[in-house]
Amino acid sequence: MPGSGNEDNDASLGSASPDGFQDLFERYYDAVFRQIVLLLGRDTAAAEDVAQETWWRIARSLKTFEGRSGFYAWACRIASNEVKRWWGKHKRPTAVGPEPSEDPTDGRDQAELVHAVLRRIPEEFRQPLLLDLWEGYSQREISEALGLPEGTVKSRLFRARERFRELWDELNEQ
Amino acid sequence: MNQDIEHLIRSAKPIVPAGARARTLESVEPEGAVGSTPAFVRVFLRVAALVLLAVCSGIVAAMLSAPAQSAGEPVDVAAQIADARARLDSLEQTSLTNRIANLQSELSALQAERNSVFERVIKEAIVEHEQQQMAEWRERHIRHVREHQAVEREATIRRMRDELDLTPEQEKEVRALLVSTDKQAEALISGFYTDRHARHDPSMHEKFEKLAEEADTKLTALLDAQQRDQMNEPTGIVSAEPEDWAPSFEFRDGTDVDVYTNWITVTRE
Repeated sequence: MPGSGNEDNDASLGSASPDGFQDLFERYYDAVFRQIVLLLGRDTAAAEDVAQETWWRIARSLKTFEGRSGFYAWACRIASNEVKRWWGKHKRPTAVGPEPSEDPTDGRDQAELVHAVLRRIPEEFRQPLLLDLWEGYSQREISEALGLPEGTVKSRLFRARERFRELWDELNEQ
Repeated sequence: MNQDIEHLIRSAKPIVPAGARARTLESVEPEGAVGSTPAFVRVFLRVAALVLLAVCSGIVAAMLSAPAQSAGEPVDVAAQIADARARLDSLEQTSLTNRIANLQSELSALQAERNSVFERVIKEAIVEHEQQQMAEWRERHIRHVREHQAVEREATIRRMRDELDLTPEQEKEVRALLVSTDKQAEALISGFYTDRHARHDPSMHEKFEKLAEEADTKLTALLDAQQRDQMNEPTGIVSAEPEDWAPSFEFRDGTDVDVYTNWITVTRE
């Protein structure tokens, strides 16, 4: 957790013990929750439901987590599946996925537009960017969370920013 | 510029609702429940477990009290249960092993039966086909021999009449002899197809030779001394060679060819 000084390796936390689960839960709950909000839309009540399902599945599947990727990346895949499952059961809200091609002055707030742009950034670039800017993780912590070398994290952060800027400029030019 | 972008993204950071973390943790209940079911299912399971516990307690209490009242001796219920379970396991194991063995035995029997039936059906089909083929070959062969010998017989009688000056009575007896001999030849040929199934039979030479000798002897007996002097001995009135009893060279179709080729092949010495 940023600022917590807890720099345990994810793989060591990937045990199925309650302690291991709780540690992971404490470290990544907020980050996973925000990913769900981003993917789902800004309906935090629905996001909380999805978050519960996601963590329930994580708890069930933790024994099978082999630590080949970072825990956060693995949890985000589960969260992404749960979001799809939620969409399968509910009518997809029109608020989800506002396309950047739409008029930015159509009354939606800026955060919503930022989310729309973020959704268009590929996951492998978006995840380090959000861990950096939303969660305040250091590059080393991002490296652990995603199971990537720090050099890769650095280059992905750079490309993610570039991509965001391109999309944001595109949006504002329309 | 980067700072603007970063500020923009940071300002869009979703808020995690107060209590969401606690509610999620409660629903997942990690302390000792990692890998468990959702909250509502767990509540149901807890109630079910309590009911089951109550029922089991009643049963155990009844088991403990009943022997104590009847025999007045302490009973080791746990040992009895363990013993019963062991016997049940053993019984199930034995029963399962026996069932598997029986099923394997039945399977083997069914496979053997299937193979046997399959083999029998094939054999029957082959035999039936062979019998039909032999019947057709026999019929064609005998029909040819009958037609051919009828012509040959009349030619022989005519020649003997002219050369030996046969009396009408002798002619009649010679014709009867030849007819009888031809019938015996037909029987030989027929038996070749029904008894030997047209397989190689070098003894056909001996059989036709014997038939020719008998015919020759009988013919000689029908002639008077003068006529016998005029005839060469043996008369050769009936051919002793199986080749001469072959079906026609005038083949109408492939079957005629097969019949002829087969006869020539399998009657070779």
